[in-house]
Amino acid sequence: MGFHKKLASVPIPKFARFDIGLPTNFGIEGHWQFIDSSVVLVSKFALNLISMADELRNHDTGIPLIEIRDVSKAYPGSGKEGVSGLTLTIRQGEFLVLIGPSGSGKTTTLNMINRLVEPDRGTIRIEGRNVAETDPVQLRRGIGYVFQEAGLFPHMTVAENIAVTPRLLGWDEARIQARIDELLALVRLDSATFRERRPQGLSGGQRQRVALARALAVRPHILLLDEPFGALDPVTREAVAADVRDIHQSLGLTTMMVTHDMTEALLLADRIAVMREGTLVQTGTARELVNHPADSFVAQLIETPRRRAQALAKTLAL
Amino acid sequence: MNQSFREAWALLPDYLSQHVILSVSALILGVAISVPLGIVAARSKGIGAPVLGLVSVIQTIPGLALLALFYPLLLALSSLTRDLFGVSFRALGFLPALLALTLYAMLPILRNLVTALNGLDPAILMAAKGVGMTPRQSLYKVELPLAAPQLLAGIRTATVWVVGITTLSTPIGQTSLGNYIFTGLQTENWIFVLFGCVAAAALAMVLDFLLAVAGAALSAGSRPRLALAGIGLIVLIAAALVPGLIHPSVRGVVIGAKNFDEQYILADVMADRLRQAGFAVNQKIDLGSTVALRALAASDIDAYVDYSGTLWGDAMHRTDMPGRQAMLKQLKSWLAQRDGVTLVGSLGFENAYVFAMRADRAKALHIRSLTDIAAHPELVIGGDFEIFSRPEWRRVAAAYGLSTMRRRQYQPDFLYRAVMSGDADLVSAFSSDGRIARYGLTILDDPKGALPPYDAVLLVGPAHAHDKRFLESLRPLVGAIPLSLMQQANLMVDRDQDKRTPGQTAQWLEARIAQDHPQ
Repeated sequence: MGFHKKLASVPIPKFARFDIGLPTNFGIEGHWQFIDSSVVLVSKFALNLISMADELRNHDTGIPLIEIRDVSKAYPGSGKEGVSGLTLTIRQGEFLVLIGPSGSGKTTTLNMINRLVEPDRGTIRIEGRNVAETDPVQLRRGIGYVFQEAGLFPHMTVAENIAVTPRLLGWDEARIQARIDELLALVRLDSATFRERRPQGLSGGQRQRVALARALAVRPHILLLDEPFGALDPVTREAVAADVRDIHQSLGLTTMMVTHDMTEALLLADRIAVMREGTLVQTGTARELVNHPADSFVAQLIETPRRRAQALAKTLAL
Repeated sequence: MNQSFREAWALLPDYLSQHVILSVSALILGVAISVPLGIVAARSKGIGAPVLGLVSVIQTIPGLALLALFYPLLLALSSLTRDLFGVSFRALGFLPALLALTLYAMLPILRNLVTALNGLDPAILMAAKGVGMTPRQSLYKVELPLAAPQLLAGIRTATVWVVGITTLSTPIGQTSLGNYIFTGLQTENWIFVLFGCVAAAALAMVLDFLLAVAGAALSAGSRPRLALAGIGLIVLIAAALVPGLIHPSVRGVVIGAKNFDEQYILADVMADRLRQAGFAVNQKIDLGSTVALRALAASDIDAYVDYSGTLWGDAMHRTDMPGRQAMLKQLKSWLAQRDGVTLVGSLGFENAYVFAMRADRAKALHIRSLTDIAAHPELVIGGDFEIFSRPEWRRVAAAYGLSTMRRRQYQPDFLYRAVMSGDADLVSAFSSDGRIARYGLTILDDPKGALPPYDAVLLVGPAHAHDKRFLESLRPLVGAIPLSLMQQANLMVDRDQDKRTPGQTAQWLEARIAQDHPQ
């Protein structure tokens, strides 16, 4: 677990275990302790984040993996979020978070990478290959995608949901079954308990874990996440988010996540890309954004978690 | 009462079996067409809207009319394929019924499927695309499974409709549980009517229940329950096929009958005689009046009794009146020439259109003939479903100035009730009907001779035109049934007290014929 090991050498280490409370099965008392401690930790984390953020990005190889060049997409008259003239490069091993208010074009940008949305203009290259020239079905099978509110198929069991892409690729059944167990272990769900359940019998956090397992089933190098924690309660959200970051790290993935929550972005991202009204406002590490916000919009955005953390710290008299 | 019930019970295996085979075939065909059509309709608004509109319009056509329309349609098609490829098919019975019922089955299935597919959560469809499914994989692995519960609900609705409407396939020559209802209505045998209704309802409920179990099993993912429902359906269908397997249907010769008592009795008499001559005999009863001659010409049936005036007006479209003998002669040569149908001879009685009034009312108003009616514009005339659109009525109306008279239409059996209750002042009736005498009705004279003769004539189809054994076994009926005898026979079936079935009456009639014409 590279992430944890790495943390041990970082000056202010322990806070990074913000999933101290077990993600499931803690009693009421433990629950409150968990919230208290996580609030404290998050506060500390936010305040001290800048000093360590650079240290964390060791997986970033610097090699460009996804290159988005001057891409535009318009939905005239539909009210759907469009994108105009966006250029952005995601490096191999990087965890990039796309942030912005709703309607700023984040999800559209994400969906153009695996061609769920086709751009009107501009090119997107993955490992140097123009995605417009690839078979979209094969492209999507090779990229992990976690949808907003999971997007699990309600008529399939957990195991069947996870097995969807392997089956599409024609894996043999023994390999699929072994992979399901492996993936459930990876997302920390007990295989015996959850395998045969249907999505409606799962909690929101469990659903997102299954969706993550499904996205990773055929060992993709790229993982796309569209507001994966939006519908989760704060406690679950942090537990799942920590696991996502862990998995990103341990599998050496290149991850691109959409969110509108700056705290989440600060906690998870190697690099943050801020969008507003379909255009890219600024990209940079958390430190860069804090120290040199491009405009008042970015400053305000990044200020919010800090202000909240300070208020919390005051209240808790730390 | 008990007798009727026993008789109905004895007919059940055959009727139910044919009903199930027809309904289930129509449903299977309906599903087979509607599911692919529904998928296309859901994907393309340009196709979906007109298809759904068309199917909805079909649904508004009354069941009986839709079923009846398929007969001439198929007949034309059959003669076309015969001319083009030398292949013809039977346009009567199963095929037209199957096609009409299939159309009926389509609407609920199609509408539910399209609604379900269009109502799927876009996020789920996006997810299916996102995990790398092709449109086809998305359809089979995600969209159809998710639409399945609603699709099944549509199939259940279609099942209940189709099982019900199948009863209406009787008049186009397809045996079904409707035979109880149509025959029962004609002979005022309410046990039969009720028996048919209950049997059809029970069948609909059983099929609906099995589909409901299958649906619940499907959504719960329960294999054993699904298997149970499947076994139930298979057992039901297999049971329906059993009578056909035990008595493999030898087509034999087929005797036709229109949909009234006299025709049932005469068909039974003919069938008995042919059986005695060693033929395997089947009957197709309750045929529509104009369907019968076409069926005979197409060899869907082999013999039946029609009436000279009916053929003269409906088939030959003649309006002149050359007199009884000349009419028969011209009919005979015309039928032989056009259809290869043999007019064997007239049976000896006439079943003519007449107009009848309650005796007391006729007396009070001083009405003796049709000429007297014009003086009473307040009178209401009751008729069966066809009379007012027939040339006979046009001639009567023209001859006696009755075209503005107020009219009411009744199911033929209710005509007598209508005139007795005063609902109608005079009614159309048939001269051989035993109830004219029984109710003491006064038949109005036709001094201007506006009504043509309606001699009952025995017709034989082209297949047996030169079949001596066939012709000889029927020929003794020619000239053997005087009007009074037919009236008595008809009354035996129509009366409420000591009611006889057409089959029993046929035996009585044969005995009387044998008595009067010892061979």
